[in-house]
Amino acid sequence: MRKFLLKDNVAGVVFALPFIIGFLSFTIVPMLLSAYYSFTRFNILRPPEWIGLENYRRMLTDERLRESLFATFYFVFASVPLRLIMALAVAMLLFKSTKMMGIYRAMYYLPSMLGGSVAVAILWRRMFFATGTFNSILDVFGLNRNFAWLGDSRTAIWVLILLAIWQFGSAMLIFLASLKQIPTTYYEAASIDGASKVRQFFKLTLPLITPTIFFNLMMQTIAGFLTFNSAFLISQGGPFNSTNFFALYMYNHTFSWGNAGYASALAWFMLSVLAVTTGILFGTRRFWVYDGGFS
Amino acid sequence: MKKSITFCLAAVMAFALFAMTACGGNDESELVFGWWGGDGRAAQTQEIIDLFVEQSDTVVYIEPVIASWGDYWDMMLTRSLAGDLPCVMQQDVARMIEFVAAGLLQDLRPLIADGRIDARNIPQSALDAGMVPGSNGIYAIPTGMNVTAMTYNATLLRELGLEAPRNLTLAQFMDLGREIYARSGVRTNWIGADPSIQLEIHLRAQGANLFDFSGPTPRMGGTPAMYEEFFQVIATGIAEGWHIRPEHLAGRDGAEMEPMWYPPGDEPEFANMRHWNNPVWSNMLTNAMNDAPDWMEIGMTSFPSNNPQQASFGRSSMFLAITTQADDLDAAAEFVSWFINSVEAYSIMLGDRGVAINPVIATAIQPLLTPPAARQAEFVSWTNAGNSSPFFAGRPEGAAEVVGTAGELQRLTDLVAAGELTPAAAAQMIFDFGNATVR
Repeated sequence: MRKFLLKDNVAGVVFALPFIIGFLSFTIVPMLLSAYYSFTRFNILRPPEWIGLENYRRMLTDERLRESLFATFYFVFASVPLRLIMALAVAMLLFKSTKMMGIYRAMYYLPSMLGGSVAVAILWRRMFFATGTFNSILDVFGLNRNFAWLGDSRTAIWVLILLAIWQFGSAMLIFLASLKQIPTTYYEAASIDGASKVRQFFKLTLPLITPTIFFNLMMQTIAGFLTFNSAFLISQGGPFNSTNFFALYMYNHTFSWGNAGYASALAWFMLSVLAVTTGILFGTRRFWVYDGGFS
Repeated sequence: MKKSITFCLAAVMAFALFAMTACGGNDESELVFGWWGGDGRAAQTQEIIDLFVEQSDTVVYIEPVIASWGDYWDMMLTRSLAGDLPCVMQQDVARMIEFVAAGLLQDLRPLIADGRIDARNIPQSALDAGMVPGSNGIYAIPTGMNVTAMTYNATLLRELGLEAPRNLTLAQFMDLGREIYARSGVRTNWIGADPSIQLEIHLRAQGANLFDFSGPTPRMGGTPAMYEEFFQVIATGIAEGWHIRPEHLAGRDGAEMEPMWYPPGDEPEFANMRHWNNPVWSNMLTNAMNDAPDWMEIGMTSFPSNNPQQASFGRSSMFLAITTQADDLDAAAEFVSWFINSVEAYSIMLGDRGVAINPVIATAIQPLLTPPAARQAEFVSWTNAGNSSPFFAGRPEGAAEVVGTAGELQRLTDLVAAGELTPAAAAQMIFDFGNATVR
C-alpha cells in the first residue's frame, strides 16, 4: 500500500484529484443535469416535469429573447473590438522598458481586477446618473444637460460597453507578452530599409501578433456573450430590455421567475451560439492569422 | 513529503465533508433563521436572536441568513434544491403558494394544537392568512400587519398650501400631481417600486383582483378593459409632464438617492428628477422617516383610487414558517412560539415588521413606539376601521414573470411611459401574457 501510494503516477492523480472532482461535480454533472432540465418544466422548488421540446419551441416565439439576443450581439460586436484595440494600444505604449513600466502595467491592469466587483458597478452606476461625475465632467466643457445615460435605451448599453473597454488589462498583458516575442532585429532591419514606425506596426508587428489577436478575440468574444455582472448590477437589463443580456435573461428565468427548465434550454441555445461563433472565427483564421510568427 | 501532502489532502477532504452539515442536523439544538431586509432589520433581528438564545434552555445557536427581498428568494430557491432551507424562514403571501405546493413548509396545525406553538393570542384572521387555496393547513404565522399606503413629502405640500387627504381619489391625485408640478417642478409617481400593488388596487376598485383563484386554475382577474386606466394614468402624466419619467429613476442607488429627496436643490432640472410621493407599504414609513433629510417631513395617506375604501387592503406580513427541511422541529417551534409572543422581541423591532399582529403585544409596546412606529400603527388602525376591504393577496405560480421583478408588467409600463405602446394595447398584452403564464 505504502509503495503504491508513493508511486509518481499515484501522487499525480492525487494532486489532480481536486480538479478532477471539481470538474466532474461542477461542470460535467451540472451540464448533464441542465440538458435534462431543458426538456422539463422546472421551478426549482418542485421536481422537474418532462415536457419534451416545449422549452425549445417557446424560444421561437419569445419576443423578449429576441430583444435579449439583439442586446447581447450589440454588446459583443461593439465591446470586443474596442477592448482589443484599447488593449493593443496600451500594450504598445507599455512595451518600452523604463523604470516606471512595472508600476504603469500594474495600474493599467487594476481595472480588470476590479472590473467585476460590485463596488465598481455601483461606482459606475453613480458616475452615469443624471447628476453623476460623467455629466460633471461634460459640464466643464459646457456640454452638461443632466442627461440620464442609464435611462435612455440608446446610451445605457454604451455605459456597459465603456466599462467592458476599461477592463482591457488581461488582453493587454497577453499582447505585451506577444510583442516581446518579436525579435528586435526585425525592427532594426525595417528601420534600415526606411520603414516608418507606422509602417513597421502595420507590416511587421500586426502580422506577427495575429495568433495572439485571434486568441484574445476568441476569449473576449466568449466572455462578451456571457456578460452578466454589469447588466445585473448597473442597469438591471433596462431600459426597455436594451441591456437585458442573455445571461441576465437566463438568470431571471431561473431565479426570479421560476423557469429553470426554460433557462436550461436557453443555456444550451447559448452554447450552440458560442459553438457557431467560434466555428466561424476558426474558419476565418486561415485568411488573416499568420502562423509562422513568434507569438 | 509526498506522504505528508497526501495526508493533508485527505484531511482537507474529510474536513470539507464534515463541514457540509444540513440545517440543525446535529444533536445540539442549533437553528438557521432566514429573513429579508436591510441593515437595520438585520441588527434588530440579531438582537432578538441573541435574546432568545439567552432565554432558551435548548437552543444554543441560531445562524442568521439575510438578504435583500429579491436576493432572498433566489437564495431560498437554491437552498431548497440543496435541501438546505433555513429551519425557520420568513415567508410572504406572494410566494407561499409555491413553497406549500412543493411541500417545503410544515403544516403548523399540529404544533399549535399540542401547544408547541402558543398561538392563543394570535387572531384567527391572522392564522387564516397563513393558509393557501386548496389546503386546510396553516403554513406560516404573520408577525405583523401592513396596509397599502403612500408616503409623501409633506413639507413640500405644506409650502404649496396643498393637502393629500386620506382616501384620496384618482381624480384628486392627478390634479394634485398637475398642481405640484406646475408650481414646484416636482413630479408624481403613480406606480411606485412595485407596479403590481398599484395595479391590484386599481382592479380592486373595479371589483376584481389581479389574480382570480375562483376557477380550477388561476387566471388574471377582471377584463383587459379594467387594466387600461392603470396604463392611461402613466401615459397622461408623461404627456402632461407631471409624472416622473422612467429615465430619471434609472441608476439610482439606495436610500441616499431616493427620488423623494435626490437630487437636492431648487433648480428646475433637479426638481424634475424628483417625485413628491411613493406608493409603498405602511411599514416603509419608518425607513422613509429615518432616511429622509432633516428638513423633510414625511406624510402618509392611502393609495389613490376611484374607490379607495374598497381598493385599499391590509396584508399580514413577515410570516414565520418552519420548513420541512428543519431537522429539529421542536426547537424551530420553540423559536416561532417565542417570537410571536415575546414583548421583548417586539420592543426591539417595534414597527419594522409591521404593526404587531398579537394584540397583547401591540398593547404592551404601545408606550415604547417611536414617532414613526406610532404613526404607522395609527394609519394601519384607521385603514382597518372600514377604510379597506379583506383580500387574499396570494400569487399563483408564474406570477413573478408577469408582475414581479423585471417582469412583463414592468416592461409594458416602461413602453407606455416611452410612448411606444398605447394603454389599450398594454392592457390587452398583460392580460394575455398573464393568462398564458400563471398556473
